[in-house]
Amino acid sequence: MSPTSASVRELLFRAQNSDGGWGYFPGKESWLEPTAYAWLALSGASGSTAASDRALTLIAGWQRPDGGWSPNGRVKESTWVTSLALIVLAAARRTAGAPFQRGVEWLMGAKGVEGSWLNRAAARLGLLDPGRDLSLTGWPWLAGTSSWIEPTAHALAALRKASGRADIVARIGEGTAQIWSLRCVDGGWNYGAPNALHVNLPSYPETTALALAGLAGSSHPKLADAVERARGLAAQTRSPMASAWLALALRLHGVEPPASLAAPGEEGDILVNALHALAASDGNWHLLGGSPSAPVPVAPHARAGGGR
Amino acid sequence: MRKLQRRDLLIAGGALSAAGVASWDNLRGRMAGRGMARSPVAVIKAASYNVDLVSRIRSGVEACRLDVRGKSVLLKPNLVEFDAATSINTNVAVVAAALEVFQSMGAAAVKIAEGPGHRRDTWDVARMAGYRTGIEGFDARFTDLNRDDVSAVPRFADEGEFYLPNTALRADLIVSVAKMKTHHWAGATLSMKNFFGLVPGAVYGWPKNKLHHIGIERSIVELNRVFRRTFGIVDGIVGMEGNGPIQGTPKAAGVLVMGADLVAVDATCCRTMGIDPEKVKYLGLAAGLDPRPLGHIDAERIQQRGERPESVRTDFALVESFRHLRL
Repeated sequence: MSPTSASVRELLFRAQNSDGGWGYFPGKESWLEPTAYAWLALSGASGSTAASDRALTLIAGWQRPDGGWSPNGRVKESTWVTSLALIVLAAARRTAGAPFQRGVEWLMGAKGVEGSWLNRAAARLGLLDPGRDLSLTGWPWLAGTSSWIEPTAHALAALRKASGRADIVARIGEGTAQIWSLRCVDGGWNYGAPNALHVNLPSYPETTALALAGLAGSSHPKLADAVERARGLAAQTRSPMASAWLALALRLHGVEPPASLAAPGEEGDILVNALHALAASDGNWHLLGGSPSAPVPVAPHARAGGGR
Repeated sequence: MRKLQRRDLLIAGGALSAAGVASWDNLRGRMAGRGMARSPVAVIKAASYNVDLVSRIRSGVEACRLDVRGKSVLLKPNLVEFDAATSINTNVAVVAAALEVFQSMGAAAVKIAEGPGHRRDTWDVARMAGYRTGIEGFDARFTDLNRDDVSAVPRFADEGEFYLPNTALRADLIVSVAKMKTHHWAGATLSMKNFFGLVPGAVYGWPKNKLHHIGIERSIVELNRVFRRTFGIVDGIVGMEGNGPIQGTPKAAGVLVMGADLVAVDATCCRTMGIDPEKVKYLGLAAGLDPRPLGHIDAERIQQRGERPESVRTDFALVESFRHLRL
């Protein structure tokens, strides 16, 4: 284990709350997102069993009767974090259990509302300029809203952990297509609006990374180009959060991240530290991947070990 | 007839009509004649960010008779995104000056907080906007509202519960240190719309699309109904016109607009921007809120301090769908 990874993991051990979860920042209430990433980062680490078990118990307790997960102990609604809970359960080899299966069904039932029949009809009649392909539906942050890049990417990563049921495969295909359809003209992704009022919008490093993480294990003629865009963003960004997500996404696509990535920073940011530990060369980044697949073809200079 | 755009699609979901604004005209009618005291709003000239902003903001705050002694004050700037080529954010100099003013006026604590609507790394947006180096002790004062702990607020729009960040809920006074901008979906974004950044992304996502589905105008009013202990400082030294709030063009208006009645502050900003505030839907909803209107639009019910809005009027360009707002 690298010294950096070791110190970050030590920080995570110290910051675990008494309820078994992690807050976004030390001393704050537990949330599912930092808990999931901390759990994934610590998985298999020496002495992590007790901490991992407590976190798993907390996560299990946050599953709601509808099968989804709430983002923390206070919010009474299932949201996008259901995908993260499923990824953790899959990494804990609990895919056969009822909680995982109920979570998958909740995720399969969640979809962005933009593709409603009324909107499709209006678009067909020329009354609506949707700026999107309404035949493609991804995942929303929470029920009753539209689909966006990040929750769609998380859902794809989660559903790839599920069985190869035909409807799941079809939904993965549709979500994957939606991510490609919402790509920005600069080659990356932002939150899910490549243009507004006919003005092209730029991509962000963090959402480009998340989109690519969601596309891990898939194939597409432009995947190598998108990976190259991510590599360029990784070399530019000074955001510790974006750097970690980019490193993770690049590794999932078989590409070594640039050595100049921004460090976790000193804000005591649990999520960012967990992401950095997860994305390290000796980290558990592979737990975010889909079923094993051949690395996508990328430009020769971008291959692992071929950095500038 | 205007062709519906993606925004209509994303906010309307299954319904094509813009729900939540249908009753606006009725509410506007009801607000007329309400017997509320006049609201002081200060319009202070500031030609650039290099002038003495501390004395200007102090004079505006004092003109509005705000007393912050012993209070915990939360400064809420507009840090929605960053683009060096334009003027999206509240300028760092305005936030730094506001911090100095409230500290010197005896506030018990002055914190800064924001929850950007699109970007995940709030700290990095703050760095790019110059806050982390341009504001003394910024890192220790700042809270990322997107990832703050939350509490439930009952009866928010049609929601049973709505979750809002504890840092904002527990502040004695929230100062909306906003940017003077046109907005391609709301007409204008000023001190009231700035409260979208109080909504936690960890619950509602990036973007906070739930607010669009509730209705932008209605969400603005609901957030301002929940957070009523407020003061507004609008940075119109260099604002944004056209396709705001992000892709617009910098527009120098050379003013700071301040007041405790955020409806009156925004109405005054509109008048300086050449926008008729009576035609801005969320201002009409806010002024007509029953039983407790949020503030005044009517110029006769606003006690102007400093400059008169018409004397500093600088028309901001409006996108086609909002050209009818022109004063």
